[in-house]
Amino acid sequence: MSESHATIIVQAGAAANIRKFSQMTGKVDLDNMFLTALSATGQPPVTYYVSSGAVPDSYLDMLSTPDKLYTRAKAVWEADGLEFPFTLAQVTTALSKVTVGYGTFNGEPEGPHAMLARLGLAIIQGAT
Amino acid sequence: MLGEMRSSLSGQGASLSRYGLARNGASLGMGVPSKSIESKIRAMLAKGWQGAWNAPNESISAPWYQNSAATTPITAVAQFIGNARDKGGRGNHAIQATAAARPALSARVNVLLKSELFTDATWQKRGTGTASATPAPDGTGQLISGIGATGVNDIFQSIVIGGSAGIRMEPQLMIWPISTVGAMHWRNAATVANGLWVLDMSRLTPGQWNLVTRAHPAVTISTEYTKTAGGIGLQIVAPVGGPLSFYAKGAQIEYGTVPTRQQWVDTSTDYDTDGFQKYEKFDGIDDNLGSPTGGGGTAGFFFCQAVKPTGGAGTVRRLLSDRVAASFTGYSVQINASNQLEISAGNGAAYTSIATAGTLAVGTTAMITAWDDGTNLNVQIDGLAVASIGRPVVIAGTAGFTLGKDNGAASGFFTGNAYASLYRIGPVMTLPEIANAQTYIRQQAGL
Repeated sequence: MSESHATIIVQAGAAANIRKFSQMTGKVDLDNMFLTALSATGQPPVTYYVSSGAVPDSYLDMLSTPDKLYTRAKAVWEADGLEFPFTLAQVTTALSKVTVGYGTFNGEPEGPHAMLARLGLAIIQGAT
Repeated sequence: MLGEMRSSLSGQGASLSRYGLARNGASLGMGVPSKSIESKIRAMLAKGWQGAWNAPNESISAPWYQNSAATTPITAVAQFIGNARDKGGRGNHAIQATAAARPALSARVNVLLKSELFTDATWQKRGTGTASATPAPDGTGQLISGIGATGVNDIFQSIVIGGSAGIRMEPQLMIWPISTVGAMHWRNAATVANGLWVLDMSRLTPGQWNLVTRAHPAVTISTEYTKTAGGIGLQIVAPVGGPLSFYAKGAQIEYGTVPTRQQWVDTSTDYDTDGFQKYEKFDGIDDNLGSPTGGGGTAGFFFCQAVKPTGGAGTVRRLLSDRVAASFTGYSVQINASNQLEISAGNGAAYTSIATAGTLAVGTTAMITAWDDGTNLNVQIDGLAVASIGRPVVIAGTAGFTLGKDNGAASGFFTGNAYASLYRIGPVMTLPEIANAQTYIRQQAGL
């Protein structure tokens, strides 16, 4: 299984659905993603969530277009004997709230912290 | 003088077996603990303890695993850690099921993308500045020619790295001069204001390799190298006496304030690992490891590790914790928002905390020790003064523990390198046991 390093940022309102797509298609390896909360100030309320690290290329490919996400997610749900609960329009809307960084920006290397800074986002830290 | 001699000696034999140099014999065996210290650690851990022994230097020889289910062994650096085995034999393996949240196994010191191949496009050449594969008379290195004034006729490598701006970094380069006239400048390619070293070429020895670090008499440091928000770089120009031609190899930029052994780098996964300490690289975004068992201590807490924070200044970065914040229970060791080492322990109503007077320098490896001796909570950075406060009656936290973030919450992420660690709860550690543990941790991190 080939993997690539990516930083994936999801709008808070879409996080639950994207987490579900990830968990269903990747099982344990892609469960519990998008738990690190973000906002413009680093203070609540949460506006985005982020995951960053090595993920399967097949997962990144699935996130590349609504059609791919819809087709693959639907197949996984049905393989598990479940009815796929989303329409293509819903999948399209959810995916429109996902930003994927592949470690470069404008041809230059860009780490996850630099990507967050470029997008004006900061991690919301917990109580000390 | 002695420092210069040591630097010179180590430089002549510094690594690069791949590129035609002998390895520095002194480095061999780094990270391999002596039998005696290992046996002492084992004895220490056998005394009715609970905890975990994390040994990244052995993560390939006694393999850790890329997945949490422990079916795919780690075979090389730059792979991601899904299951860090507990060398202590208690089965308290530190695992991470979520692929994106796994820290990477690394032994990388040199942040440059190519350290030897100046002909590669990662080394940008402008104007008359060129590089060719022509080696020095000893058959190693590459020829750099036509280096002249700033930004016109030069060679540079500029790299983007994450983490905070202002972190001190350290360049080094091996130079075989063709002419000893004029001056060579090393500039931080990101911005001159963040690094300028001036080399008096007349003080380099012709006809041989010169390891040029801050210790070399040719070097005058005008401005120390510090990382900018965007990254770091090495730009070589010759504003005086150019155009300059010379052979070069062994380019390096590393975190810290002192030069260490040079590490060749060819790609992000192909670099010299021989004798370089391995560590877990936490990204400060979501990386963490945890064990469902091994937490829940109420006495005798001890945690010793070598860490190199590389970012996150101004935030709390949790190193090890079994605390339940909402109920004020458990232990926690963290780098606080002021970069002090801190231990907290909860009695069910509040946390009692103590922090070191000194701070951890971002970009520098340090040994940290935090322990509960039955009377006090204590913290210590390296061998510096111990800070202590009376311990509370500790109420147990969770049954397991978390490394690299808040226990039970997606916050407090550690950014940086985590070397070997020893964690124990149960019987109070004796001072000789603490000393042995610290000796082991120092060995494992090359401190």
